[in-house]
Amino acid sequence: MNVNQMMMPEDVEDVLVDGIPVGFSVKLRIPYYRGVALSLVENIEIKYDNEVYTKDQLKFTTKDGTFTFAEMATMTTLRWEFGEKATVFVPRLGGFGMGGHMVEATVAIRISYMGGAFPSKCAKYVSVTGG
Amino acid sequence: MAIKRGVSLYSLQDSYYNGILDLEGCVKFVAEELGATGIELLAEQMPVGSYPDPSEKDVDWWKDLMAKYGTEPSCMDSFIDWMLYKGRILTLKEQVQEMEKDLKLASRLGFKCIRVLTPVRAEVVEASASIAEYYNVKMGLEIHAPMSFDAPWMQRYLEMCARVDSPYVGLIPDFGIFQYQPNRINQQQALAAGARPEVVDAVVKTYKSGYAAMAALRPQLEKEMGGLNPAEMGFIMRNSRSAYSDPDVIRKYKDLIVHFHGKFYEIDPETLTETGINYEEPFAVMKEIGYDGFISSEFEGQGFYQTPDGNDTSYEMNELKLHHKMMAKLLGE
Repeated sequence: MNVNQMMMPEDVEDVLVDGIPVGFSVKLRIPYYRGVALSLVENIEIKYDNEVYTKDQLKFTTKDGTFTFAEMATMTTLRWEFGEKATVFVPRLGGFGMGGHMVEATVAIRISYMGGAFPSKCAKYVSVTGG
Repeated sequence: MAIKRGVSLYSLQDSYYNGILDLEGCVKFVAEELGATGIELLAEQMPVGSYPDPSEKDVDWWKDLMAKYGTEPSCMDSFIDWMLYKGRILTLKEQVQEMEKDLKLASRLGFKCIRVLTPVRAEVVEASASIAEYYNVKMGLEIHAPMSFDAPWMQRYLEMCARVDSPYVGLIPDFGIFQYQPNRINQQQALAAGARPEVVDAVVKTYKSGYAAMAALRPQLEKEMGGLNPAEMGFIMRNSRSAYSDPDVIRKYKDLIVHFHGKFYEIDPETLTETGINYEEPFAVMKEIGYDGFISSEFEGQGFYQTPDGNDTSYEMNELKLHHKMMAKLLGE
């Protein structure tokens, strides 16, 4: 697993509701060498330039559905598999917007044998207008 | 009686992650490119169907896959997430239930043993012994660097093994315990990043003496070298938890060994030797004691070879080919 590939620039896109950009989504792969139960996802944070979106603002979608972090804390049988792209919804009014922006994802998985959760970070410059 | 070559598919994780090899592709590579027969699987990394309860159809697919490539399941790696819930640790009973999930899955997939992580407590293994016997799957605690056989944690586990005296409770030595110096590629990358040769040499010479000597080396070098640069600090930190074990430990604990992990990072294609881990002496002891079972290649050098885009993961396959060439030579194949 290469933490630099946790998030790819082409996996960031606007989310429209009735044609209105209500946020953007980011696809993430787990920064660990195996899949885990969703209850082990201790933290996810998305930074858009200098705006910080914390886990209570985000929604997390896997092959099994879309969940809040409060829900995920109770999910011990649903899993985020190794290599699976999960989608994080970031509620940013106006969506990703024009131009280029720095997107930084932080993911911390609780790893029992390490005694806790350690954040992995991946930052990418994403541009929807090619500059 | 024979030492058989196998591969932990952990070795091919970057190829799997990047969609270059799927589970079948990994097994095919092991069989056709390495001529190895043992497949070790992290069921939570490359699940057969879904973990931990694949359908009968998925299990049949796996068995057909083994038959198709002439391979056999050797060992399945178990994790036991005792921090499954935030803010508490699973009780002993809950951890045994987690162990049972893995023993049952291993049995369904045809594995003879599971790898138990070093930090799993002896009490959990002891309380799982009768379940392991029921499923006919052995549990082997991984002896993973920097853990040594003399450590109190291991001594407690070994006392438990003696008390329980069951063929289902044992050990899996990881060859990382025979690492005697930082790998050559690690040294080269530190030098390329700006570490001074005197610092790299001092770490290489001290490594085998263990972590106490390594801990003392850092302040000494800081004083002698007028401070340490980031490349030097990184190299020292990476290699600070060294703990070399005498290969003779294999003889001492031979009756408890259920499997081996052939940890490696870099094979020198000229000499066919691991550039930091002693393979020759442990293999000699394994042959002397008549070890009858698998050794799985466990390539863990990905971090030394990865490129930013991840599209080329040929390093995993190249290093595995060299590792098997080396093991075949050591086994006189």
